Amino acid sequence: MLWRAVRRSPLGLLGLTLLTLIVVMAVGASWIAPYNPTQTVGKPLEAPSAAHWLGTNDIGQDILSELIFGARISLLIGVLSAAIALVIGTGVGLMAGYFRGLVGALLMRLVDVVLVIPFLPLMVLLAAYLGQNIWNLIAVIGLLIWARPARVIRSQVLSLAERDYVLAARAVGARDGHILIRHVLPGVFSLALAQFVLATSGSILLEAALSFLGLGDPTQKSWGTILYYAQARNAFLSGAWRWWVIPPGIMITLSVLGFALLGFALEEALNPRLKGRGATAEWRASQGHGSPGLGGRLKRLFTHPTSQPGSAPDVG
Amino acid sequence: MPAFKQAPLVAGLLILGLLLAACSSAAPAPSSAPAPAPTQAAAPKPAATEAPKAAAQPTAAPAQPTAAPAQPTAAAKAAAKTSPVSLRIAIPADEGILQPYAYITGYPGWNMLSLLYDALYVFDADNLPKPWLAKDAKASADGKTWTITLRDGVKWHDGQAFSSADVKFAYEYYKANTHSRWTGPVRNFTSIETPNATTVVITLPSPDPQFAFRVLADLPIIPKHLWEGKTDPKTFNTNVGTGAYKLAEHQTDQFYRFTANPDFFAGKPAVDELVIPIIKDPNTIFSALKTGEIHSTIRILSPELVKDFQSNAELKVQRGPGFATTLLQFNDERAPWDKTAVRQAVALAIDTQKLVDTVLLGFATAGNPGWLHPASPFHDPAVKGEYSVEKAKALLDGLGYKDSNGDGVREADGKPMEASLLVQSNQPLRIRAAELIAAGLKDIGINVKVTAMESNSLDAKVWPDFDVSKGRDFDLAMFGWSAPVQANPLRMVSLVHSKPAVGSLNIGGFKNADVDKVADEINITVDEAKQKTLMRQLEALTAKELPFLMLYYDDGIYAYRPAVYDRWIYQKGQGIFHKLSFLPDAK
Repeated sequence: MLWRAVRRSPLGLLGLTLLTLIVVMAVGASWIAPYNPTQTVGKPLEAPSAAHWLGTNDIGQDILSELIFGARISLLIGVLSAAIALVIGTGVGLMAGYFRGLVGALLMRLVDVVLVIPFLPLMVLLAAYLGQNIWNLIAVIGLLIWARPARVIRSQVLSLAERDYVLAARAVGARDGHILIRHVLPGVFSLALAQFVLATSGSILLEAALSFLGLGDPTQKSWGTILYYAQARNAFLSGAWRWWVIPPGIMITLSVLGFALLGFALEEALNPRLKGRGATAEWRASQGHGSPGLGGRLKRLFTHPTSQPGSAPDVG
Repeated sequence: MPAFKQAPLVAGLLILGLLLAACSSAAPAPSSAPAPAPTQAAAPKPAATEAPKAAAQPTAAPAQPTAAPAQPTAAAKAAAKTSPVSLRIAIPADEGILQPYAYITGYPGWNMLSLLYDALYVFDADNLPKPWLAKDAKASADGKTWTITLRDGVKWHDGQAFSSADVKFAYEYYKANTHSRWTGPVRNFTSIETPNATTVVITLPSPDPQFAFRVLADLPIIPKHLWEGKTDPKTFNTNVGTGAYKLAEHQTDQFYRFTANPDFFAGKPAVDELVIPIIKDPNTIFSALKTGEIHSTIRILSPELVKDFQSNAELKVQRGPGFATTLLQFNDERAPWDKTAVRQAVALAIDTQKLVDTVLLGFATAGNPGWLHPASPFHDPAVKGEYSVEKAKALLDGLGYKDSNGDGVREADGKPMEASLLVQSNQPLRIRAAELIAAGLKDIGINVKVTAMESNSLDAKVWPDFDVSKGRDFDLAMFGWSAPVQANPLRMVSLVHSKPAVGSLNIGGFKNADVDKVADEINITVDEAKQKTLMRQLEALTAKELPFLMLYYDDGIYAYRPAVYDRWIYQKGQGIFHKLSFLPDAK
């Protein structure tokens, strides 16, 4: 399914390639990295050299090795918090789309509330209250980004719930739980996959932002943490930003972009609302509510970290 | 359609551009580093890898670059005689109303407060109390009565005359209105009398060896005619003192502006105007200093910037011992850290000099396990730390704490030797030090997990309600005390005494009868020679018993623009930002 969806989209392929490279890097970090990133292997704050391609950090650890191992933490946080977001988002989306009365209304208002929560101030509070470790970070990011997947999935459920086979199942007296799990859930599964990939890209970016601000776990080597120490040790004033800030910045950009491109491609291929984008896009444009193009969606992704792209217009 | 297709293209180009930018900006890096070494061109082929090391040499000798700006300084001094000097010194946070009950931090709040207010004595550059508003103060033979003679002709900022009545009023006000710093020293006074306008006689219930430190030199004198009858001191908006400066303006969270007090008793100060802008971000402060928007900052220069600032001809860097401390705090009540031998093993496994060289790039002094800074007059040079992994292992082996299951972690009385090392998440340097400590302890079979937490949460575990009698909940913690705790050596007693009332800073809950005995004696000894002997005993005991492990004392590194003002005085351990630097007879 994944391959079929991506095959027709060159950008999706690019995304998949990027991700494959990053995943290979994360999995094979122990073989690829020239040093153990937690050991002091050189003088502190060395400039790049043959021994340390990206120099050393403030306590003499190899920045290149930190970068390679950092892929593990960043991907782990991205994938796990996206998984949390998706489980909640799918659950809420299914319920809100299927039970349209009071339950649906209440759930959607809850979604609205979560969407407008100011993210960073809340994060500062939670970091102080829960303590700063990687699992709390995953849980918090997951708990704050489920709202957009929930909206997208709900809109799909709204249409699925009116399909003949669902109505038929209901007519023969199937219980709601049975219908939801057996007939509706499979219908949103592919859409959920696309949302998962997009949520991952968003949470990688969020992790980097939070860690950079010192709200993550400063003892874990993620890309955001590398940036945090670069900032704390004045890399911008001393010139070390060229090898201490730009490389993790690029890694974050590439992985976010990889997930985003793959997610968009999947969405294009799997979301019935965006399927056959040529004709529909023109039709939509004529209706005055065209879905934002890929460029527009990318822009949104990078200008606002919490905005998950690709939510279909909310029907009903 | 076309617009839709172009968007991804633009995105792709953007990535390409980023990659190219990264490559091209990373490329010149190695060549720019050795820039100050022109001889580099003559070096043969292996230069590429050697470059960073070579670059270290020319900058490692800071004496030459800092000596260079001598000429502009001389010119500035000549200019200072004709045009008024205005200095801009950045601080990181607002300090509230500058009066004794409302200022916020001990540094720089107290330093700013003391520009406006004076005490009877003042701490000189060696932190020793010297007469100030008082001409002299004498203790009676039994040490219980102090007779203080005040200066004549001192005036408050509002023109009123200063007299002994103000001193009596101030001390009694501090006794009546509780304040964490001012009330303790005056609480036990038996009486304060003022036989005439320039004499104050204070009677104490028992001799106080710290009277000059804690009372005479520390308590700011406030004017009776303004403060009398004020029942809510924290909100009283006043700035009238006898000090060298008057507060001309304060915009909350923006700046303070001080002007020289022309009627100051010691003469008109050397700097006519002090503007204190509030800049939160250290990066911004140091950039502003580089561009000349500010002339100095109370912030200590980050070690990684020292070389760069030293080689800048417009800036001067003063470096000296710092009394702010960083230490590894044990929970002395919790097993296995309650055993002296375990604490000794931990101390042996931590290479404090390596911490200094790695985390602080050498800009600190390695810790004396006996607490006192090596520059302190009370320090006994015989007391030294030691680094020996072998000895550490032998100590633990001797206790029978061995790794019986082969997982690399020793077991102490059946439990694996594991600990959580708490560290403030907003202190990146301490986190780094904690990581290195954990690596060192791993080598001797102790598994330490570094746990970063927000500093208030950490305080709540290590020092709940800032009251050591309320217990503690931690294994190990990175901790530190600000410079004043170290600056007055006798305060060491409060770090190690087991009674909370005396050992108010004994956050580890350390208990040792020998230590208590010596500490008690120090608290009632007035004779200086005897005091010194006792302090040496206490230092040696502390180094042996290790209620905490002193890791390092950060150097004070201060940068300023000498062309604007170059008569700073380095107060030992406390830096250059204090009133001595601005006085007319400075240097």
